[in-house]
Amino acid sequence: MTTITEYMTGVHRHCDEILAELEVAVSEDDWDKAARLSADFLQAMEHHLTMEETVLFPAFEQKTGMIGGPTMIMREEHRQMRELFQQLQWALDGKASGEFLDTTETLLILMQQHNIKEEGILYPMSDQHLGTDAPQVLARMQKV
Amino acid sequence: MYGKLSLQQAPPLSVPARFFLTAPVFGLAAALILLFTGKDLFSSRWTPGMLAVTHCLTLGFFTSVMIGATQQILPVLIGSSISKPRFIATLIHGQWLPGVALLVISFLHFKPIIFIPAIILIAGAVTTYAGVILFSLYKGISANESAPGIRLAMIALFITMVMGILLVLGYAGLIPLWRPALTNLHLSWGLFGWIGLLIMVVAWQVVPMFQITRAYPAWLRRLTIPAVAVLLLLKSVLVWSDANAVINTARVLVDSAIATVLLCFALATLYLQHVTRRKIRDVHRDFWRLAIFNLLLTLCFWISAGITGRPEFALLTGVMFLLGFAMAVVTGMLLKIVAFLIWLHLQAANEGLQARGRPGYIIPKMKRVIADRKSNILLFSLLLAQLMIIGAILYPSDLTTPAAVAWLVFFSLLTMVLARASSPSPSPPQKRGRGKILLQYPCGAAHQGQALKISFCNLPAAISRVTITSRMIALQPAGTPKHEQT
Repeated sequence: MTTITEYMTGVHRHCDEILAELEVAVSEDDWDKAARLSADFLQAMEHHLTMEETVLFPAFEQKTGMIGGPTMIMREEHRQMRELFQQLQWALDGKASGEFLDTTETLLILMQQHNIKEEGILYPMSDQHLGTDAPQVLARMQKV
Repeated sequence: MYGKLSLQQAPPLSVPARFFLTAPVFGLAAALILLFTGKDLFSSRWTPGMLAVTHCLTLGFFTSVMIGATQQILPVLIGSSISKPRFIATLIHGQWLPGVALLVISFLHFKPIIFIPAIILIAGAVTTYAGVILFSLYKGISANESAPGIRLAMIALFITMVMGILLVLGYAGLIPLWRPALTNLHLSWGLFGWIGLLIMVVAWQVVPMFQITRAYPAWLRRLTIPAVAVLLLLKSVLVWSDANAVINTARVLVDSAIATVLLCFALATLYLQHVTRRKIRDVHRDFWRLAIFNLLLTLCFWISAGITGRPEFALLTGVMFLLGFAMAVVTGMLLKIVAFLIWLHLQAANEGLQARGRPGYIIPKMKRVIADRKSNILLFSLLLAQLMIIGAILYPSDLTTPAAVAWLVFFSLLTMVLARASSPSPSPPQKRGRGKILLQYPCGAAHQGQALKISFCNLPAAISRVTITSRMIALQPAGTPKHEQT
């Protein structure tokens, strides 16, 4: 049975891989491919963040009683990521490769330090605290 | 159990920044000592200049950066932050800086009277640091695989320091001087147990993260930490044993095993970098690549030293491990981490401005805080300095001065790049991408309904000026940028 940690870690890796391909496309000035990959990346990221914000975090908060703690920090970092998504889109629209790659570089570090915290701490805690409810929460997340 | 969970992004910027910004100054000092001591420095492992330079680098540069970085990375890895981070950082830094400086001065001038305050201050700093990190690891809730490695590295640092104190007391004539057995052990625990191990376990996190590679092989991650612990203990026992055929063979086997651990790490890193999906050129990856080639070169020198018994190969082994391998990793990481932390700090400051109803700005991102061009110059400067130091050891009379100058240039550049990153100021426009681009950025409540067009070329001027002191980083709002066009 897939745990929340395994499933969500897989989603993180998937997003990382699209981002890596996207950077290659932009560095090669292949803007058509970049536009396609960028749409994929932003859609995958937004879907992932929404899954957490609408299903996982509320379930976590309800079960642990920790409101305004770890999930608040995670939401805050999501907001910072979304700001960079916006700037990524602007750079894509302006076909500014230098600006685009600067944004992906910053986004990458922000995402990775965020992912380490989620994969190492938040997801395992969710699996542990949600216990028998975990599969049901995961199923709800997958429906988002 | 999870009551103290903290997932905050980072301690205050001033916590790691003070260690990062003072570290290159010790590098500069080391290069100056090399410049003024000249070729005599390499005549023996025990020359005052050699001891001073070694400790300027190992303590003043490497350990400083590593102390700052571990305080930064620990909350991310294990979800347990250090309480009162500013106070703790001040306590460590306040003892560390004068302690290391006094130690270096006492080596240079051989003043036993200065050794005593030096070791008291260093012991205070290391004990505080290792204690705080070990306590934090104990409280940590994540079963991160790097955590036991960081724990062992802390213990190794402490053991290295205790041996160092015994050596210094012996050097000052207060107790017998157990040389070379204790010196060799001090070197092994310091280089392999502290610097080497910490770099390896941190690499397990940062190489896959920053370079989008697969994870390091599970067997390598499982075996490395116990292997390092067992090998260091074996080495510690064998060094005191009387030399005979069996003991000598055992020593060679232990050294071979240490070399194998390092070789596996080097090959794994090269392989991961080779199959990475992040195929764009990345200066950070180039620093790592240089580091790994230097590590392989270190192993070649080590084998040559074992076979030929020539002292210059033994010296090259230590020099290439520190100045080749560790220096490239640490410099590459430093550039990346500092750029990200400054961005994070400006981001928080910008959000603070917006929360007070002031216009917000697009924050200069990492490559604008430290441009790739600067990182590239540092990479080539480092490569040149490394080649020069190899030359200086092989041909001391001809190449010592040029090598010292090359290192002086490298550390000067590093100091300038880090200092400038910490205080972004208006800079001439840079060509980025294809032509100049204008961006629409909705800028907070004061400009609701309007959009500011901010040229990226003028961004450094738009952003508030950051001033940095050893104690804090304060952001002074720059007001409404002149170049904005509504």
